[in-house]
Amino acid sequence: MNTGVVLDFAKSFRDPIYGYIGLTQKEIDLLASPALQRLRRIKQLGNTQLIYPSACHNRFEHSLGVLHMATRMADKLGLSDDEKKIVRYAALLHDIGHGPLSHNFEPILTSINGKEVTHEMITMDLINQDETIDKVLGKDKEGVISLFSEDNETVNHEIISSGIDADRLDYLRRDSYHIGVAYGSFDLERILHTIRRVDENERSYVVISQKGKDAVENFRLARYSMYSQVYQHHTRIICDKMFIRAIQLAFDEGALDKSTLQYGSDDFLKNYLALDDNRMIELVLSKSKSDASQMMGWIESRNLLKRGYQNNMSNIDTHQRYKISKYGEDDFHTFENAVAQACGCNQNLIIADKTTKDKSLYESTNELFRKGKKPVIIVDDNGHNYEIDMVSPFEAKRDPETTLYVLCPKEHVLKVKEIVPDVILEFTKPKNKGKLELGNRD
Amino acid sequence: MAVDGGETVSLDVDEALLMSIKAAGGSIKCRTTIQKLLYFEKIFDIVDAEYKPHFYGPYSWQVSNSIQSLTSLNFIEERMDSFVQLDGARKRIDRYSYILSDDGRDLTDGLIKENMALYKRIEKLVQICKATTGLDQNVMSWAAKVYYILTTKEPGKPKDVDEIISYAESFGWTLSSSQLGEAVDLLRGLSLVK
Repeated sequence: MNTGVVLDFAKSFRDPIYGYIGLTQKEIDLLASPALQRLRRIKQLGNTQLIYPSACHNRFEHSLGVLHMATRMADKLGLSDDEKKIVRYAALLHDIGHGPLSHNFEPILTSINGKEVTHEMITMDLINQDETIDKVLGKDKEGVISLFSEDNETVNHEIISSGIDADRLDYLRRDSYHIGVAYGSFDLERILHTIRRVDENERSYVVISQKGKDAVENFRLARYSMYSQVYQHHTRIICDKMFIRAIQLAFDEGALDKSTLQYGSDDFLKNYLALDDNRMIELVLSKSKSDASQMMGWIESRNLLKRGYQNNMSNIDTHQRYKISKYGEDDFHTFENAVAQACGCNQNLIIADKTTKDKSLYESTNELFRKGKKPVIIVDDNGHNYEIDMVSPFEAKRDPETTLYVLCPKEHVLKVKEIVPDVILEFTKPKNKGKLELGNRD
Repeated sequence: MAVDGGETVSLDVDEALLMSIKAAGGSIKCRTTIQKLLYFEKIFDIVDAEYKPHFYGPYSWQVSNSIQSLTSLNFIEERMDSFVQLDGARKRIDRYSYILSDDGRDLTDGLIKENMALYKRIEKLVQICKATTGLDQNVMSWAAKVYYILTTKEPGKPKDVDEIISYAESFGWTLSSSQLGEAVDLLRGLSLVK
């Protein structure tokens, strides 16, 4: 159990959210690793600064914040000093696998590798293989790695990854602070005051006492608002799609080399660590007069693609809707080609996709299940556990929406708007099986 | 087997989910019931879905995604029922029901025409679950847990009640002997245990 020994901090960092964050000498040594220093050059919210100009904070300061928040949870949940040390390492390292513009790089890696590659996988590889990290962690490395495993059924793991983990407790308030909105605020102290641990056999898990239920509702509302107003802002979605397209085109046009990012190859981690937000943008822009550099240049100057077509999928004919719901990346490229031909536009500059917005506040249990995690558990005075969705005082009606949209340069908006319904119709005819290409209408 | 095999091609999760709701009479109460119905359909190779042990027993993120996707596409409607649980604490409990929408019925009818043999097997499985449990999410969940234990913990070896309860605890599941009895009734009905 916690002996109450104060961690021996060698240095403290100023932080806009917590005042000071203390680090031990070993943590400072970890911080000096190239993998962690690189996080200074990866923006926490990627393209969000194109909507909220002050959203320029980075994953480095967030990692420090998660370490601080993990420590507070660890103290409350009665972790031993040794356990707390491991949890702090894991918190500090939890984001080192992020690529340029954070989550935007994952679909690109997945696409060029032909299999899912996530930042969590790369984080694990870096902790396992990075020399500096290995040297600092020494025998503690296995303990740190085990904390990231979803098979780890301990409160220690839940501090790092769960419905109410140190990551979320930090980023909602930090993002909110930097953006200049109040949506991400919630009663952190009440949550920390009311979290409890339950030990069952070899397992342990976090619950919230009944008295803390409203604080959790407050937290969920904060998360919902941030998703609605910031993370899923329609302009950010456009920016992200443009960024991903620019990178994909850069690979196709030779500005970037797919062979350097083959996951599992000898040089993968070295090449990956060489990339950060600005370096990636520079590489794409380096091949002038390419479609990739044109697209990236538009992002740089905030000359964004426009929504030529946008429709709630529920408004589309039943059978067309079902077919489109099954479309993958290749199907959408074929669709884009058909739209481009019909409106006389470069097909690389047309982006068709569908996106689903869920009201994550009221479906946290479902959302967590989708990620393979446990729901938030409320424990009443009699010791009975309830998942929060079952006892929430809020009307919990879900209203997820899937939207089909086609983005295009401004000058093609009217034409795209006019021809997309016809393209959908022709494209989803049974005989064509989603692979039809339109001829030139001119 | 009560639900005959023989098909080599299985349904995707969306198809199986829509057909299961249709086979249940157009609506299913509770997400857990849907999860467990498709779990048994997976056992019989009717649907291709991945299941892992979770809080409420075997659980598939693909089924969870499909519920969200089909709701967002307006093929199924989600309704919430609230009731008060009188267990001393007087709690309001919310439970979700899933109903085929008009569009969903239209789509499902088309899918059934293309996959009639598989739909017949779903229909039979749903009938057995309905007759044995009334599609009760608790009993179906207990049955799924028991079958998961039988097939993953020393599979093939017969187990007594105490062993099953003990294995359940290793997954973080609580099973009583009376719950186990109800679970076995369903598993016998499906010919999954002797």
